[in-house]
Amino acid sequence: MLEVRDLVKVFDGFVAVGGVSLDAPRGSIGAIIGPNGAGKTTLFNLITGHLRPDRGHVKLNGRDVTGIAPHDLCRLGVGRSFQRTNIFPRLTVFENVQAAFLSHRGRGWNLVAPVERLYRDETLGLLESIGLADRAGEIAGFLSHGGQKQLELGLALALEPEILLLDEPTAGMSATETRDAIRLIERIARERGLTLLFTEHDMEVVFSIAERITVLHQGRVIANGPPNEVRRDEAVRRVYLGERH
Amino acid sequence: MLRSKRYSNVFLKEEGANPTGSFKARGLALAVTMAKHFGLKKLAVPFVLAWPAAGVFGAACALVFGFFCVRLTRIYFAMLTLAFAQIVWAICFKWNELTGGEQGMPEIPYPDFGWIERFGGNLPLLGGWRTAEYFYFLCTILVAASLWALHRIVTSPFGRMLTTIRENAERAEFIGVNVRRYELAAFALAGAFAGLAGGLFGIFNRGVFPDFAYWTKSSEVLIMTLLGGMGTFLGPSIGALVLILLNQQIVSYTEYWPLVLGTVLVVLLFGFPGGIAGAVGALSARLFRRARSA
Repeated sequence: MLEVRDLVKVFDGFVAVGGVSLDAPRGSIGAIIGPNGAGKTTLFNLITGHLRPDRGHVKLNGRDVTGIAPHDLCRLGVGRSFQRTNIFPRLTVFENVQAAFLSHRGRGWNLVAPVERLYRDETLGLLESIGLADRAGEIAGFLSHGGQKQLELGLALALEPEILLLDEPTAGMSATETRDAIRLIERIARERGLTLLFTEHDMEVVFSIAERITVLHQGRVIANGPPNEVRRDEAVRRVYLGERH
Repeated sequence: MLRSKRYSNVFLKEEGANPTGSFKARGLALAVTMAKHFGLKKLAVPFVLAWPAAGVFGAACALVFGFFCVRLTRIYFAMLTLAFAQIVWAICFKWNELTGGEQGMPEIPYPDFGWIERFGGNLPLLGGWRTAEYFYFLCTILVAASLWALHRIVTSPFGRMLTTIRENAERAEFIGVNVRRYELAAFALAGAFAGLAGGLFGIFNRGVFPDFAYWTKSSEVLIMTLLGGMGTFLGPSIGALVLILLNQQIVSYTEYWPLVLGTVLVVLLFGFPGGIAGAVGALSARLFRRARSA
């Protein structure tokens, strides 16, 4: 489904991502882990067209999408969330998700229809499934941090993606919030048969749901495989133990 | 007479919808309309054709300028629009054959209202008015129609897309919004309404002059927006009304109008960043809350 080959990105001589390859087969749940500054977010931005790679390519269902503009990538079935919560803060929760529907279904160029009624049921249905239905009328920026993360997931899901790229979906959450968020993400991914690729620093989260784990260190892949293998990997232990002591 | 100046709000408003705050867009579009008007007099096109043409021409020019402008952001965007405005002003100032150069184009005729006299002259309310009065009502109707159209656009899906861009352009890209294309469309729309406004203004003023294309004219519109309240629908209209009233009152007392205007602006920016509409909104929200808790 998603195929990343030998991506390289250099910022002013600093190698942020140095030749990363990975695959996300259809319906799989994959995690990218690594210490801070390992290049996880840069890798994400390369995949989703925020940044143009210096080398390498990204293929989606066999189609080359390297460096394609984000708004075009969205149409090809890629949804993403951001590490720093990224919503439309002064719109209501409902309006946030509705805007995503409008845009994705190509209604954005309609200059005359009253906007309120469009995609009402779809929007409310989606809010229901991500547990924000009773918050529909609230201003998005006033939601709790966890709530905003949920909403961001909603924005991504409104695009009816085949693959969901989540950059630290539980960043800044409390332990309870984290557990709930992960449960929600896993449930939605399974329900909709999504391919899921996420970055995360919370090991517990990663090992609880990921089927495949890719470990990044200083912009390179040092391990790649199912959780059990990665857990026992010598290089991984060194990096993580080294970081903690 | 006073209220007929309100047409100028029309193009102001689009600014609220214009995500990047393209303040100068209308400046140049206004200038462009002037140019249109010069053409208008020579060809003696009737108003029903010339007025929409001013809108179309405004939009077309905004498209050309906007093509370059939306590639830049923030201050660079603002500077580039200013640069285009200056170019247009220079053209108006120097191209004598088309624009009358320094002298501008005096004696822009009123639209022909003779047909009303002929057909409605015997009706109780119509007929027997001066041409300026007919024109005043014509303006009122056209401005109302324009406001209605703009309101429609602001509350349409397109308007919502513009709002998402204003709120968070990065995220907008990632719900599939082609930010640049929408910005260009907003730019062109702003140009269209600026063109329409300019079309009315030229006639109201009985002439068009290069001054109208100068950046100070643009800043006047910006001040109206600030005064009335940026990001609100009626704010700019209120701002225009208040600014013109203020100007007329104060000029009769003192010659230091710019000084007063400057002071008003400073107070506004620090005390009421939401302008008149923002202040009224906040006040009514507070009163409402008090009434509810009492």
